[in-house]
Amino acid sequence: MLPIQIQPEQATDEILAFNRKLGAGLQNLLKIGPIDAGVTPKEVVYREDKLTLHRFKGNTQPRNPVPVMIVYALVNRPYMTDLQEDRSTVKGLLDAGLDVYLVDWGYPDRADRYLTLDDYINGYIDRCIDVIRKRHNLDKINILGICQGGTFSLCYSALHPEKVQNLVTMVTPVDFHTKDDLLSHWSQKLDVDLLVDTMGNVPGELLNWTFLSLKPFRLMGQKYMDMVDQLHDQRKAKNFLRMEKWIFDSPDQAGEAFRQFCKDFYQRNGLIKGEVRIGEQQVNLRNVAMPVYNIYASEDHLVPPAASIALRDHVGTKDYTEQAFPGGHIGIYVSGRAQKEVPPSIGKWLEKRS
Amino acid sequence: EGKTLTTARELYDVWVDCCEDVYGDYVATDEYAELHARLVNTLMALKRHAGAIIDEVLGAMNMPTRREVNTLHHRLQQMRREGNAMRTESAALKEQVELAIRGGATSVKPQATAKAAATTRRKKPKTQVRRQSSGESTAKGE
Repeated sequence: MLPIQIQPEQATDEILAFNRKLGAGLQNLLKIGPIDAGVTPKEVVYREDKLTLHRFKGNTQPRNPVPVMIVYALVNRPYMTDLQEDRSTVKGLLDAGLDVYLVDWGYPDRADRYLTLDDYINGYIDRCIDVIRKRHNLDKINILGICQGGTFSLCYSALHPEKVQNLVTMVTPVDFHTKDDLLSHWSQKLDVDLLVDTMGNVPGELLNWTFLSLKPFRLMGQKYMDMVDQLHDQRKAKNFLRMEKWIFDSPDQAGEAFRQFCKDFYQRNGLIKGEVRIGEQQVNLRNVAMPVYNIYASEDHLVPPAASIALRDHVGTKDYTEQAFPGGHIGIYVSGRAQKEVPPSIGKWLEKRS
Repeated sequence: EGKTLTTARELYDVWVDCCEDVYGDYVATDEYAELHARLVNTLMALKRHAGAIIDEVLGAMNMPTRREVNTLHHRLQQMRREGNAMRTESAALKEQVELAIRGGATSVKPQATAKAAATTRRKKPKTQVRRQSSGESTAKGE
């Protein structure tokens, strides 16, 4: 028997049903209105250039006396961590008793072209941490670094261990030359100097299309076929559009910071070799002596698990914990299972060490 | 494997899986990485030449060029770094001076000590605005 047994009448009915759903869905789309993200109340505690440091307000007072500062990647917008009411890592952390701050990098423009990793790590991150330390009268705070923000947090913790109580890294690349890292593979022969000297800042759209081209059939085709099944329901349609808004809301990358990150981390794999210099200081991961909690996603195609797990062999801490989450790079923030598991586990881990 | 496809959607999903597998195998090769990099590098070289021509034309019209603006931005960022470093140093020196004053104030009368303590007492932290220029945009596209 042939494996394909599609009857012509059945196929016609299927196509007609699809078109009906699509038509009804388009009607719904016209009524949806603006798409908001970022649901948890917050206040601005510090601004510098395009950067804003937010403090989130929970329903109860924080139980953990040591606040945690979330350092997100430069590559996408941080409201992914507080996307909607039932998909908010921030809310989960607040419910776990944490006092949560978040660094919003903003949208670099050409005036930010010459910002370096030194400016970001020893400048912006350091000053944000000093603001929080002063507010709470503490010598050290907790840091939660996400993806590239986790890499930055590792560098910062190696350079300023006296200011970091505990470090949590989520889907953070450490070894950029693992076998299954496509992004790294594609970047090896890229003339990054020519790219940055020509473009100045690297457009967010360029990075976005690169990410989509990792799985083009799923991300540029199948996803939108699935979308039609959700458009009839306003709530599901809004949820879909919220994710779409985030996916395509990609800031430009400050040229010099991109140059160094691409060359020193992706091309030379300098972090685990101890060859990365931030400003005038060499980053030695052995100086990361504070407790570390490393969470990675087992089906992550952007930061393969091996790229994160490598941290285990390079940090100097004796208190190292690793946690695999079954899901993808984005699922670790937005899936229902992630909401139930990840923030509580971070809260418990930090509570024992604060 | 052993499954029968009875709907167009199932066929489409299997087609996507096959395409992703084949695509994934090819884009992981050295050949593809080389081609991909050559394409991007060549496009950038072309764009760079185009930018140089535009700068020549702008310069001929006595207008600011990208090269000049880059120089300004570069120097400005350098000055901002120096300013930050000086601010940090100055804050550290100020703290040392205050510590030294407090250390020397143990021999002063209690009323004077209380007054000195009151003037150095920290105020309730408010939103700190380090630097805000009127032209800073806070949202993409503004």
